[in-house]
Amino acid sequence: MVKPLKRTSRPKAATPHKSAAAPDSPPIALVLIDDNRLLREGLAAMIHTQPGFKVLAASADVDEALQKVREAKPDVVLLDFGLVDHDSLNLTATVHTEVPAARVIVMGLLSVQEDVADYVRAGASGFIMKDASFEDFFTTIRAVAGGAEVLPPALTNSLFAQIARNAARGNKTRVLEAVRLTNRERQVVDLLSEGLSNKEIATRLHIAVHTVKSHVHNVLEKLALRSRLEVAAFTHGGGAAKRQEP
Amino acid sequence: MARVKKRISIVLVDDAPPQREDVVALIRKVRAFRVQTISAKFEEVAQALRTTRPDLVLLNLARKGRGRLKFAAELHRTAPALPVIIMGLAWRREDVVGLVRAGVAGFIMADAPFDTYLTTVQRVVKGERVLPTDLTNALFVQLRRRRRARPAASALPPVRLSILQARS
Repeated sequence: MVKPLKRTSRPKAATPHKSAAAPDSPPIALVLIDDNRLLREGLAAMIHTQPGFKVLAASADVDEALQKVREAKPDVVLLDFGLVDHDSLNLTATVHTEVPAARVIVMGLLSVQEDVADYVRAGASGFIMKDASFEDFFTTIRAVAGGAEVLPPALTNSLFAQIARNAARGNKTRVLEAVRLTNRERQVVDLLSEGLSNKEIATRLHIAVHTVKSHVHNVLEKLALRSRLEVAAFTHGGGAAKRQEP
Repeated sequence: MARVKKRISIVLVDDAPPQREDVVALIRKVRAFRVQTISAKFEEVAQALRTTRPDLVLLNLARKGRGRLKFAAELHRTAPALPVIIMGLAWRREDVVGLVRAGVAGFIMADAPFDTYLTTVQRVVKGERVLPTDLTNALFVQLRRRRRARPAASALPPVRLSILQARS
């Protein structure tokens, strides 16, 4: 084995994971929400065979399951990603908001799923993939019940890509702020984004139409865009142009 | 004919000389890796990337916070396709998100076992992203914070878009 590096400080962000439940500790209480009956009953039966777990409810009825979550405050809610009649994302947020102590694990995500970050923001604490092994399944539940967050390696790419994409969108706002637009040009950008014509902008700003045309021309040049539609799409994609204080 | 496995060429960017030899020794234990060490002066790094065309950059920067973020972001801008792994021990939550935004493809806890170094490098070179369990919590918490901080986006009404389209 290679000796560890000579650094002594511990990571500030590291979350100490609680170890697996001791034999005399209470079982991990679960509520299972899945509208696929075969899967739901199969998972519940599988969990029943394992010591240290207790299924409080296994239901396809979201309202009924939510009621059970509110009353029983389970340690973990296992939630199917692909509920047919309900939005699993909203359900995740509802559980997280109403019963923060119940930690949500979203099950059945595809490896190319792009909304991992949305689920994280909604309050999901863990993910179990469709191809998870028996061991992955129980390890994830134990870890999440113990306070850890679990992201399967296959979803890490998706999450990183989403964060990078969001950062790129944010950059547009910074571009608008960084480009040296005059106050009047910024006003024109705002009005263009609202869909006003040159004449309407001229009326609104009490200036001549040909002056508006000149401002539009300058804005397109400075932002390296080709049409007023692109200006609107650009500002709406990255936030409105920031006004400077007079 | 048997295929000869190409060695993974790693550029180690390091501003912590006391640890450098440890890290180099660690990497050299693997025959499949070839390592070249460079100081953390950005111009030298950029020059080395142009001349050596490595498979991967391993950042071991003692500097914290914005200095580390800025370096990673500049590296990504210079060579966007080149995977970067960053190693360290002390991570602030916002730094983890910032480094992901800056294009970092993998993280290694400096006190990780040797096998973790090995698998992280191999996976990142294959195009995967690697986040140690200890940092997952940091990333999740930071993402949830950002959700609350983000202002509501205004949507251009479809009718306005069609008007603009007609004018364009």
